[in-house]
Amino acid sequence: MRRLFPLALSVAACTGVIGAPPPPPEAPAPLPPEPQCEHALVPGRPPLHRLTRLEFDQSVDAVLGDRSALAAANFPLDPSHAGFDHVSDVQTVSVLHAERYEEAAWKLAEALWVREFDPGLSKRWEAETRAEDGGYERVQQSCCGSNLYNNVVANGARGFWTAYRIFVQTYLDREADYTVRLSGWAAYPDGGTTTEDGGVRPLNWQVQLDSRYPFLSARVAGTRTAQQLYTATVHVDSPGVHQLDIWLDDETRLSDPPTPPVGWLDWFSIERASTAIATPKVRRCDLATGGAPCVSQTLSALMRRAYRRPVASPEVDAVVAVYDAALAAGDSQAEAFQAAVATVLLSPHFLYRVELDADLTSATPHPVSAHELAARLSYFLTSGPPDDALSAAADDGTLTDPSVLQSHAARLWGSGVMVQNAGAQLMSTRALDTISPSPQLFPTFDAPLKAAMGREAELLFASVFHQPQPMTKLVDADWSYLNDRLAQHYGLPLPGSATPVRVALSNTERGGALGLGSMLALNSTPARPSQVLRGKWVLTNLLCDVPDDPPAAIPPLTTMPGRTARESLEEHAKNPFCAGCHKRMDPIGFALDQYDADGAWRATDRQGQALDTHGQLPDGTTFEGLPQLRTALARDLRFEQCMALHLLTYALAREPKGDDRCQAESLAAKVHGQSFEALMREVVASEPFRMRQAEVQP
Amino acid sequence: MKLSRRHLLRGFGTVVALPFLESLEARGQTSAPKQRFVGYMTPNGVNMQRWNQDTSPTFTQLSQSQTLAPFLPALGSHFTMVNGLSCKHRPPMGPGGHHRGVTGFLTAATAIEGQLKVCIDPPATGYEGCAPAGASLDQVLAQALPRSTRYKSLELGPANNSINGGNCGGFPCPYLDNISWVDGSTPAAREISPARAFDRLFAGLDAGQSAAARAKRLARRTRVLDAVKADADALKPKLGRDDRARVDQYFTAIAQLEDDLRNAPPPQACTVGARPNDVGLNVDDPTDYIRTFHRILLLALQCDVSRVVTFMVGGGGNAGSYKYPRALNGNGPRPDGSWAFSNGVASGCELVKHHELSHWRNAEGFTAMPPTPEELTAMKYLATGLIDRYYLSELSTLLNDMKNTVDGPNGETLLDNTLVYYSSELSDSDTHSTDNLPILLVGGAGGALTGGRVINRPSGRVADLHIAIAQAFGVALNRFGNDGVQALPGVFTP
Repeated sequence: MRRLFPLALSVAACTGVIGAPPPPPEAPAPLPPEPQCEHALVPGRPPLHRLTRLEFDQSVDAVLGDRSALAAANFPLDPSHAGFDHVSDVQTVSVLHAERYEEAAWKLAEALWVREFDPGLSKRWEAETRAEDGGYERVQQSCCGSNLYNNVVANGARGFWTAYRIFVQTYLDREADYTVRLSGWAAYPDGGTTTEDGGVRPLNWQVQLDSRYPFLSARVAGTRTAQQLYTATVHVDSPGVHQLDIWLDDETRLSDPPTPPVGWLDWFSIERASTAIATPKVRRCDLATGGAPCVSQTLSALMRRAYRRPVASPEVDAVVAVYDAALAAGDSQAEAFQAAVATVLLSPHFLYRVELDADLTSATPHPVSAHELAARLSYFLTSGPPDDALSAAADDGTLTDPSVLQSHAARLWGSGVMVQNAGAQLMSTRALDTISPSPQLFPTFDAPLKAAMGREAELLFASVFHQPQPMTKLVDADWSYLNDRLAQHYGLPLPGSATPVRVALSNTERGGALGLGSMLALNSTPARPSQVLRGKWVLTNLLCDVPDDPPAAIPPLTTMPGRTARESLEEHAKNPFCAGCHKRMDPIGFALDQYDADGAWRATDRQGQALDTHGQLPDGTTFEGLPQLRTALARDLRFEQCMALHLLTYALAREPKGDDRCQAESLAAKVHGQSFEALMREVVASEPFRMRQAEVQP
Repeated sequence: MKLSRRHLLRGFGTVVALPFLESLEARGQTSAPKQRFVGYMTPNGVNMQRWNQDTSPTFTQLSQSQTLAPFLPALGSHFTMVNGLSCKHRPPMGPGGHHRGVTGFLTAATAIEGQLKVCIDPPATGYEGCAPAGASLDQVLAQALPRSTRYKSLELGPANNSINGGNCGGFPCPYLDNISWVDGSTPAAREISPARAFDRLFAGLDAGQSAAARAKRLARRTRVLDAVKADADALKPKLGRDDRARVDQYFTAIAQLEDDLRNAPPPQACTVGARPNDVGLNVDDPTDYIRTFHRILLLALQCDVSRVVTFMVGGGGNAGSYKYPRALNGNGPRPDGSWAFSNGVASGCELVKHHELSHWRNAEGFTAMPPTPEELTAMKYLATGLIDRYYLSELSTLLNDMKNTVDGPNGETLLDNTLVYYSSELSDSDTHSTDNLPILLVGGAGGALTGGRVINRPSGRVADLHIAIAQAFGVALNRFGNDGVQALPGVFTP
């Protein structure tokens, strides 16, 4: 036996005596026991960690500045184990992952090009230079044979002659607003006077896109005046070949057809502004003019951030080689650059958090490198890669100084991402969709109520986790977050708000994790509360004493006329086969029996029988109802040990094994009565967090 | 220019480019039929009494099955029931019953507690070093059969149990959610969204694109994938054994993707109808979800996008369990169809989820008092049987669609060419038993299976049936799972 458990925390067996002997109710909280783990503990070895969907999106945001959250929408779900969905042990990959990774990589690379590198688009048709163009983008005449439209010298200069409609078919590379300009003049050869009143007939330049209603319609003077510039903007809704038509519209021509008007265009153009943003994440230089050094510099900087460590030049060369090969195969610079970026985003050095052992043959624990440590810290506290300050501390090696490490931990602590992610999983709010009390029995239960319950749980967690509160407030908080709907459901005074607000609770029948409507409803069947599921939730989430699934061939729980649910369960727990788990789970559930399957207070069960909310754990701890149960839990050292184990698991992203439980007890003892932040600092300082050991082949 | 899937969808309406299969004329009349395999799991066992009279030896006719009876007139000639087969685990099934049931569904092997590893007949204690299982039956077929479709296999199924609190006990959550396994430690990830599944199958190819443009795009993508493989290869020697295996897993997935890109047949058109709405799983009634996925499944087979498909109606166990109002409402044992006891007290049986009903001997929390405990037990058991009937009712719609789809030169139907392996992860869910599994084989398996039969193989091994299926698909397989050593005789036409 490498170590002793001061307390029974065995996962595998359901037979242990559970719980530290509680003090008498009036006694002060117990002092933490000295950790009895045998030192030195083994730090263990996190399996190679594949980024989860959340981590992928956070990483893409940090590395590329792209918040499009592609992963969350499209990647396969990350499976959970040991309470969290980022536990490396079970994050596997199969071909569906590969498909989605590849799809995301190309999309992100294209978006990066548009966002940071796009040079814009500008096409200009000059009578002098475009006259002989042979491509599909040449200027054409829509009608009528003769070569009137082109290369007409008038007023001493060449121009497009537009007695008829002229058009071009041109490739526009993306959905955007485009600016069209034309420069020329128009006039009537006959002076343009009407026969009736001698006035000048109105004359308009018209420009249309893809045969839609003209977007440019500009009145011209109607005489051979000096060249004028006309400008208009048009929206192009998809990339591809589009047709631009230009003609002169003589408004009165049909009713009075004398000599048609003539137009002369010196040039016309279409332009799209560059979409490159002013503060790029990736762009370092002008790829169009910077040549090979610019390409290499840009990709190298990108890889440094994507891989969360300095990159060696052969690695950069390999990615540059992808760029070069694409150019050689006829890709545009944009396409080649996107291929290089996609290669980086598909690299195992990006998709996995790689940690290396210098000596694969020695199991001696060693500190992880400064960059590995930076990544551990940032993914622990932000689910994303190190920011600039943390990266700099890794680069200069100062991060391995414990005080520097702690200062960064303090700086990053309390990110919304962590509070939300850890809270949703520890408080089980992701499972809200599976809560479905029977509409026949609970007709007032609806989606807004369920949502209010979810918010209550998240806000309660945040108010304890992120604030300088003792961890135990998670079970015995005397506040909660209610809106009117939820307060009414609980039978509490209405706070007068449709959104959840913090309310002080005057009694202890709500408040804390045990009084959460979401937890109570989740651990119910649609028709009634489940003492077993509630007990199991408390044991699993708050005491880290996970009961096993029932074994095969369990004797059935029978019901008898006149027997309460409690009596049936007590009968069941008499069977030694069942007792190991049920004697731990059921008493907790009994204490919560005053709360119905929809989380509301109830005075009796559905048959009108009184509820007996006394519970007694195998170690002799007794309590009645939620108020005494929460006090007992807050005094139970297993609660803080369990929070330590959860946070250690969350930080290491691996299944707890080996010495981890002992580590957790040791951490909990150091911060007894203190806050989650204090616990986090101990986790960061711990050996499992700062060290690893190689996996030596047996 | 890489086009997004959405653009392609907009552009192509309902006729979408699909992988091309050589026409039957081109292959000639002697060509082998297009055999297809569907692995189909319903969760939480079945009511064995109504299924096959608890595997009674006197059960010899399909018509003796209360669950199947309503579907026999239309489909009876396509059903083959195989009784008595077990998936044996050492140690005997203890905790993790649903985990082991699901994982063993098509692997016939044993999920190990405390890590993600499926082993071949692991010892009762001391799992370390146990021999990892190979691929599940569907993946064996997918890898062994010559490529003729765009995807070698499709895995469709529910959102995972993980979502429900993230702790599935000592057995990791993926065991509850995956019947398809690439190898003993790699589940083949499922598509959980019908809309995304539709896009994956039908929106990725551009029939209007020229061959040159397709070739250019393929070259771009494979250039990148080759570089990624080289990157992964260079990393491997720096890692310990377990981490190397993880990078290998990624390498394999990338290589499979590249294989799909390079070797998928060129597209041909197939009418696929509108993109389905993204139906989420509804805990109050999964019917829409099941029907939408049935449509995807049917299209995948009809349009020959894949010939190996697995579908799970739900994961095993409590967390992923649903209510079945369409199965239960109005179908209770009282004359008025209610779920009241004989003393008139409402039982509430129709209000609870399948998993809870499936523990039918268990009266936990049923505070409604029946006149006798047996009455509650019988009522819960009946409810599970009606849910089984509901599953088959939904399945029968799919089967009829397959029956109405011509799939060969001599009038063979899609159902004639397909083998649907329909079962649950457990037999009696209440005892978490994997003995006497409830197995229904549906379809003609391309001529290899004659329906309308009951095959009783008391004390048989389900792994032997898996071997027989592989051999019926022309795949040489002689050992499989925990205890498969020979093809189960008498099921398929040699």
